[in-house]
Amino acid sequence: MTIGKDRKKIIEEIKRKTGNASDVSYKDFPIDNKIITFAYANTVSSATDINDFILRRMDEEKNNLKTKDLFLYIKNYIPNNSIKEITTMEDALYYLFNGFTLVIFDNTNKIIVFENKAKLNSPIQRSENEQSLKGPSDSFTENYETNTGLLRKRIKSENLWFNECIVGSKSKTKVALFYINGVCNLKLVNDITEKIKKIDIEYVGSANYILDAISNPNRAIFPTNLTTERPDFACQMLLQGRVVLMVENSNQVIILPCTFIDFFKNPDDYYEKGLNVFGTRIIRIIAMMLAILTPALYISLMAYNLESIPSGLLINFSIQRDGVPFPTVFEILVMSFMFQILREGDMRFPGKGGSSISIVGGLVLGQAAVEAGIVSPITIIIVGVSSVASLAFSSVELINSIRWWQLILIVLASFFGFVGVMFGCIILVALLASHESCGKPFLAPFEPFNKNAQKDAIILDKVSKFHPQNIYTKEDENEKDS
Amino acid sequence: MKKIVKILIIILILISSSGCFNYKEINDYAIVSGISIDKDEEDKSKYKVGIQIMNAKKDEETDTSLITFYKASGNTVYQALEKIMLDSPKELYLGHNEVLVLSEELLKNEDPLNYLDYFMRDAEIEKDSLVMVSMKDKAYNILKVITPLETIPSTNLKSTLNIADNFSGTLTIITIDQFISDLINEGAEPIIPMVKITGDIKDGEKMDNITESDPSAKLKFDALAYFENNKLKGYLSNDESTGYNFLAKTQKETYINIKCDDQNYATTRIKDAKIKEELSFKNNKPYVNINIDAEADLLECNCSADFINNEKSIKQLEKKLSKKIKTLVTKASNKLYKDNNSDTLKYGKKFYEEKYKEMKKLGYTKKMISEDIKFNFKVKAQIKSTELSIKSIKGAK
Repeated sequence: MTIGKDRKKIIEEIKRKTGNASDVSYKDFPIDNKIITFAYANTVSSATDINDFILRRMDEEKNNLKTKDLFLYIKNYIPNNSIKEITTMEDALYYLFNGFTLVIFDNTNKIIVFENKAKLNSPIQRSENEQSLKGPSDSFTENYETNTGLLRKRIKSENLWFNECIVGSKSKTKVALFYINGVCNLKLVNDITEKIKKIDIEYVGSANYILDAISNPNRAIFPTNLTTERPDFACQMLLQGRVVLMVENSNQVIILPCTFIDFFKNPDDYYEKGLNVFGTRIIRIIAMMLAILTPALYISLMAYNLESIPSGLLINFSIQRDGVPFPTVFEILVMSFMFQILREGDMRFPGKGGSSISIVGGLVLGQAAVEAGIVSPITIIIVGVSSVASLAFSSVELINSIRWWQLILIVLASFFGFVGVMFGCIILVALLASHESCGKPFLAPFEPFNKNAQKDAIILDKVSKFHPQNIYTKEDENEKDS
Repeated sequence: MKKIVKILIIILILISSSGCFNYKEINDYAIVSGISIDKDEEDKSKYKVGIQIMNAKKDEETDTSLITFYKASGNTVYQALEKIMLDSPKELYLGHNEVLVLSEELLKNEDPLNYLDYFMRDAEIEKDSLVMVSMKDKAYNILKVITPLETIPSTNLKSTLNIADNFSGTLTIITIDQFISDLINEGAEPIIPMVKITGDIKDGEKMDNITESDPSAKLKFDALAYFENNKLKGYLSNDESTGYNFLAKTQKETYINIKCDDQNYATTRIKDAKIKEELSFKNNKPYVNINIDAEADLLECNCSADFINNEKSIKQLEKKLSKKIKTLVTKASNKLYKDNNSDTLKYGKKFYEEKYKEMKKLGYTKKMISEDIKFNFKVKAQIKSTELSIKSIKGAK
């Protein structure tokens, strides 16, 4: 809807559309016989900026302005870094609530807008969820511009490009797709941009909204994206030919496409010695296996394959379980469930209440449950091992997906023993292998195998740090292109 | 519909190929750690089977498990076990059986193949259990003796035997499946370790036995028992056992005493002995040429000797050691093949495998090989190390 020529009508229209919002101020400014109106939303714009740079300036030049063309003067000489001419009512409202000042004239069908955004953001803080020991510790904030700046600060090349779109019919949130021109496959960028443009949602709460909207249903339960709040890690990933999805008001960015091995990487890896990183990654991989397999293997050993346990251990297991009336499966399920409740309580309980939960949980559920003969000590150990191992990862989504697979394998183990566990593992691997993240194989660079990208997979070679390699093979790219 | 059928087929395959039907909690099992077989005293057609259960109950003080013992008689081993199961509140689990003790009386009078079938037929039972014979005592008494260090008698027997097998050179171990295959094979006879109780069995049954610093009842492995025609014939002495272990290549670490002068002795440890056998027929009779190349360490030398300045002294020791080893193996071979006809070294089998054509030509069967076999030994011993001293503390004379 184009705006009319009548200033008063425009103001009426804005008032009507905003429901006479009390935070929108209209300041009439008479010059000679003409009146212009400044309209701005107090809550999102900076009062000092409006006073100092617009109103004061206008006041000083009041007398000179009588003879000049008001519109041209204001457009060209008011000191502001972001001046735009707009012609539609939709734009006017969008800029109004984006912290811009609207200048409304009589007899022109244009409105001039100045940027006077208030800084409603937390400052750049230390990363809390992905703590850094050796690397830079700044993290993304909720401010979109700051976040872009944090990336630009690190990659000053002109090849850091981004596509920007606005998503959300009500929230009008900016979503940007960062990539390195010449490194990233353009088709991938276009695909994701297309998908984002098609999104039909009202409100974008955080980056994960966008992700849910563009990703396909996922049968492996494993997350197919990587979120990070560390700009240094995002840059590292950009250089490997990935796309970084940044969403306004979200302090996490999404890295697409992502591979399975990415979950075993930590931003700090790139600041450590390659050999140590290799060790840590191996430990993380073992932790993942322990987390998924321990309870299932224990159940199949105890219920079906007693002969595989060394006799000394078997006697211990046997006398410790003496007097426990429940089946092993039940014990394991109950204890895992209690652990999950404890974890949830620890995470959600406000302030310092967390420690009391762990004391009650640790003592009551561990020691006392054993002494009361409800569970056997070995069950506590098994559940403890698998739970602690599952906490070796920073991605909450990954931890939750591990929980599902634990459960699936426990059920299979309790009905079918080792055969069931094997069967479950085969299904898991098959699902992972058939999985795609933005049309790219999830198990890359192992399947399809890419020799160059192995330098940043399980091992981390210096070369890959200095000259990051694209994780996908050329053939792989071509195949997808055709 | 197709999907449902597929899922059903998968579940069916899983159920039929996995062990769902034998889901059992570990505390529903009584874990059997030792089995003994005796002849029933009253009814001679029956066997008396004793079992030792190792997870009987928890000792609250030490947090270890206490053992218990059951026995019953039956015409077959399984019948006896079934009778025991009626008495016991838990199902017997034989998958972790460690020892099988057979009584001397039974082995002397009966072919073990009469009652060992169950041990090969059952899928669950441990085929790696060690076989031993109890001398004089009833076999089940062996399973009753509680010993210090290892409170479970079966585990005690098993680990003692394993240690002895590694370090003493006078004992050897044999598992159920080896034992049975030796019994079945015509060209081989089994040889099994003998265990006996020293002291009073009445004391050994009690838990008090292990609180004494010198327990009144102990289990002791003494010698090897050899078989002839699948029946126990006799026992080898210590020397003969050592000799046997050389010939059977089962020795790992052997200690040999040699007399180094008129009254003093020296001890050597043989760690590595290379033994080469050549099978042939000499004068139409089976003939075995055995070369023993032993490397020894000198552990103790109580005679006066100086090994660095006097090369002869070490040569003399080596000569004596060679001679000693030769006597040991000769004793063993004489005892087994000359005095008796016990083919425990499996030459019947070996000749059958290697010299089949000649055997056929000369009309030998596997069984007959052991009757006519002749041995020739060549022993060469070397002392490789004299440990920390280059001379004995007495010094050179």
